[in-house]
Amino acid sequence: MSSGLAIKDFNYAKHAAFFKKHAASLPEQYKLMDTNRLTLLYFSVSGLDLLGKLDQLDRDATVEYIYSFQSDCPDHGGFYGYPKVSFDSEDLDRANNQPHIANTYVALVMLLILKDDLSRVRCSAVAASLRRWQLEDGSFCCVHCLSSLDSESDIRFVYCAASICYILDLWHAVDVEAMARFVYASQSFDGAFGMGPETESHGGCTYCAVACLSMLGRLDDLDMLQLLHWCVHRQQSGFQGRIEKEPDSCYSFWVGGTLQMLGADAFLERQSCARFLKTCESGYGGFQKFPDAEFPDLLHSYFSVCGLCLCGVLPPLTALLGLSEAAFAAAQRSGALKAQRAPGARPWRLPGKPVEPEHTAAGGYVA
Amino acid sequence: MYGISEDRPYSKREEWKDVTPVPQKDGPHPLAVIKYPPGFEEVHGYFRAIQQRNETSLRALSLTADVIENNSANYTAWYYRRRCLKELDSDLDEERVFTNKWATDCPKNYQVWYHRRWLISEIAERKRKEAGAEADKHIQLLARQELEYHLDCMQVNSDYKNYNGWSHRQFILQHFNLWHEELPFVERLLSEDIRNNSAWNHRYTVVRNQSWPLSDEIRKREIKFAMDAIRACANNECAWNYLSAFLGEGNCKVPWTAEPEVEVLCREVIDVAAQHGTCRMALQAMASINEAKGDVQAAAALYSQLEEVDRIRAKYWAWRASLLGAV
Repeated sequence: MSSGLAIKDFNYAKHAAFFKKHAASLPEQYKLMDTNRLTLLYFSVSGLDLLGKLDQLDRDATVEYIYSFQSDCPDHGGFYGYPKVSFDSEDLDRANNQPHIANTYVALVMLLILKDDLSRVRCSAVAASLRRWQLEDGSFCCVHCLSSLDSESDIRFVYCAASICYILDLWHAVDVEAMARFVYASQSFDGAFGMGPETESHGGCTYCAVACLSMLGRLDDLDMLQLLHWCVHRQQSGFQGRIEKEPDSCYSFWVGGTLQMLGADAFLERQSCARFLKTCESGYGGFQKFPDAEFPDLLHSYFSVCGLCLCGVLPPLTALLGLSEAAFAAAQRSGALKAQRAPGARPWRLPGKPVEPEHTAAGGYVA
Repeated sequence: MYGISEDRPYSKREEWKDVTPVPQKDGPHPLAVIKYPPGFEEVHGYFRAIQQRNETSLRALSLTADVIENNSANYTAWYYRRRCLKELDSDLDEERVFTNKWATDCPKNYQVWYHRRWLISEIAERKRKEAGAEADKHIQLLARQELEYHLDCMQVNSDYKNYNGWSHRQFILQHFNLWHEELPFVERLLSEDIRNNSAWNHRYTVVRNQSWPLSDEIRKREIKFAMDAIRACANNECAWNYLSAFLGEGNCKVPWTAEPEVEVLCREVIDVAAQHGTCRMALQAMASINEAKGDVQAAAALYSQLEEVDRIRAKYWAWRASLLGAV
């Protein structure tokens, strides 16, 4: 086998510059993300952290900016995806400013990365929103102003809800049983998960479902062999997101991260994955979706960096929440991150002989 | 009437002269600032003004179209649009025609498909209220048109695996109970591309909704369908994946040994493949068959063969072999 790719084989200075630039401003093609600005910011903040370059950001200013997206309404909490609009009355505020479940999740994770203690997060208001975001089938919608018909609902937002509960210990605000039911109902015949019941298995959805079940402490009820079988077969060189689709850089995180959560990191073949990500590396800094794509983009750049962490080329990542292991540990030590699994959570470990990941196979990041 | 009427800036339009746009307040040190294209900020400024006035009028409705034209993922604009449509009691058939373009142009956009779902449910609901002998016929027609529309979208974009589109199709089939007509459609799509896993998943969903609990006859039919597909193209993972939906342990499944033809097929494929390599999917299926037979040694031999030929998953196959002893 050829010699392994190592940290020096990737242009980290350019990638850090890419994230730093995008943390400040983004070109016109990101206009479709205008109502998810915090999510865009998360890619840059967490990306810089994973590269060990968080000092490139003004920590205090970034924390203040994130908090400026927090809703003031006591029964309508969370973070907006875009700057709030001032309204003359509270009713108008509630009807038009929309705290968004995914942007709330990324806001909390960013604050943890930036070593904020979360003391300014209005937990009871977030709990009120969680209650409203959850639908009868156990799933969650992303915004709720006048009715639950304000948005679609699917497994992505169930993951966001679980993460918020896990970070802030707000499990009392949600129907845990209904959540678990929805996730199980979204398991496809091949063992992996789709957006909702009866949909096609998909790497991103599988990540959301497995992370959610891990936080709910319900992994033990799954048909684990089928799920693992599906996951490991997504690796071609890099990972594909669905059966018979092209490998795409972001699935090194979605599927690789799923393997990590299942305690099966060792089944990710690091060399091939890192080599594929190398072919997606852009000369401009950042990563592309496909090797032959014309330009890099922020989302694929971020998830490629996550992939490199999972390949052992960069320091480790906690896939469950999407931040560096170091940031996770520090936040847990400080008490900012509650890291509380749902009531009644059951432990889970991979059956059979423990398998060790090849620590140095991809060139070996030396801490 | 529901769409964008003209190109002049809002500030120059007579019908908007009573409205003062509200700028975005992004604080003194904004981050992740998007460089907006021309016109983007103005449209959004007027949208914020309309929200301030809590106005649900025809001009507000048409403004939301303009906001969506600028950013089809603006969930607030979509929601506001639905509010206007409801409060104005608008003609929803017209809205359906109007949103055709959006779903066709942005098939990967979640909001547009959600809007479409809301719209179709709402139209059906209204038709149902009209009662009358014709109501059912109109609703069925509406649903069938929507299925046609999904096919059009896939054809126009040459993307037969679009996730949101398939979810929409399944919603329509479920909502209007049309599963019984769906199998020929799946077969047609699979005959065009046997590696379209979205279509394979859809096939399973059709069977699940039409013939559950599974009779032996239907299970045999589905297993045969997968086996025929494998005979035509042995390295198509979709077909092997589909086979495992009916074999193994679990609800409505039978053991891998229950259908002896599957083993015959596996041996056939392994023999043919041996001339120019290996077919790992056939080896895996053979391992499952041997596990089901309780032939641990044969299964272990296959796993160690897989460990050799499928190097990227070598550790996984070693682990699978190690589980054999544990059982």
